[in-house]
Amino acid sequence: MMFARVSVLGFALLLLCPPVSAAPSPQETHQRTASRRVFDGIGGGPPKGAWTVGVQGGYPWQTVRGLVGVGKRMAPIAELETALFRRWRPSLGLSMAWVDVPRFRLSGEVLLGWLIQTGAVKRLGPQGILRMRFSAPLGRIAPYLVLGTRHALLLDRRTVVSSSASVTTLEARHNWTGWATLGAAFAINDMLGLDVGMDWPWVDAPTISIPGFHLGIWIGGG
Amino acid sequence: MRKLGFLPVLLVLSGCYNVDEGLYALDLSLDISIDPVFSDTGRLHLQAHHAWFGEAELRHPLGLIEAWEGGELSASHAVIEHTLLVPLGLGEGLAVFGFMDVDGDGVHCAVGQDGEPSGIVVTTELDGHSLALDLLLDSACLGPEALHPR
Repeated sequence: MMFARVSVLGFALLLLCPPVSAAPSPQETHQRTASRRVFDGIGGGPPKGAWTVGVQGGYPWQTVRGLVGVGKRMAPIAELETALFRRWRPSLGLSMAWVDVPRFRLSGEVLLGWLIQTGAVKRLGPQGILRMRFSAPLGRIAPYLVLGTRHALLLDRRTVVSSSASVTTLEARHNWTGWATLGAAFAINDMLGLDVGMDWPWVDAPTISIPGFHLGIWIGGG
Repeated sequence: MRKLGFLPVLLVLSGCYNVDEGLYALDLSLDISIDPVFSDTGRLHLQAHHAWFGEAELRHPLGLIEAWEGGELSASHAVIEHTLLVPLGLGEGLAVFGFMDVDGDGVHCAVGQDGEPSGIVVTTELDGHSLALDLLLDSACLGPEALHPR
């Protein structure tokens, strides 16, 4: 019985992970890791024509993210992030790989979106994000680090009704959120991958935020 | 049907403000008297509250609007003018609490100091932008929670 279970598991792994042939050259290694779409998801800057979509679920952050390579390591990004379904951030942006060598990829991202936080502490306003992604593909595994800075513009309206007039004033406040994620991606095959990571946001700095974790699944093609 | 075309625009615009605060300016005229059994010299401290705050099971007396100092007093009677900005839609009525800081320590009573008078006046009539209230400081060391008539 036990043997049968192990055999089924082994067969499934063989299907998902095709065997590696003879030792590849560095060029082949690069092509091989570069063709794994999960690494584009966590590393950014996919090649022209490649696409990747990922869902990261965890606590307290969940994200859906998609990229399509349109130029030389340049890709539009669409991202939807939520924290416990109370804080939402739909964003659009651009990702670009600055460094892409066999064992290392560095990319930068810029996104513009809208912050929508409901509940007792309401937050509404446009948010801009700058992000850097460092990843180091080693075979099927790629450790990665994401560092980001988020800037929201919160517009407050104050109307004072007095006996003589009603005066409305607008005040814009800057709200900064820092971000770091440390994780690792695992390529099941060229099209499918997983990632696991720890998230360290700094929401409404200087207030300390609780860290989070996530598990992600990525599919891609092109 | 053409009117419905404005709906998305309205929804977008209504979602633009992080805080959308409405304030009602109220010119307060407080006629303050101090019970003769207490000292009538010291610094006057005043607080304006919603008389009631919250809804349903969470409704409770008092919700602070503003606290301010009314200045040094040296007589048992004074009139204080103050413009109060009352947040709209957050509470009901108005309560004004005051105490006399006789020893100048900035707090209402303390160990060894039990002769600082306080009082509260509560009203539900907030029509118009001006309001005259009489506030009698005749209780020793009682805070607004204890003085609120409920």
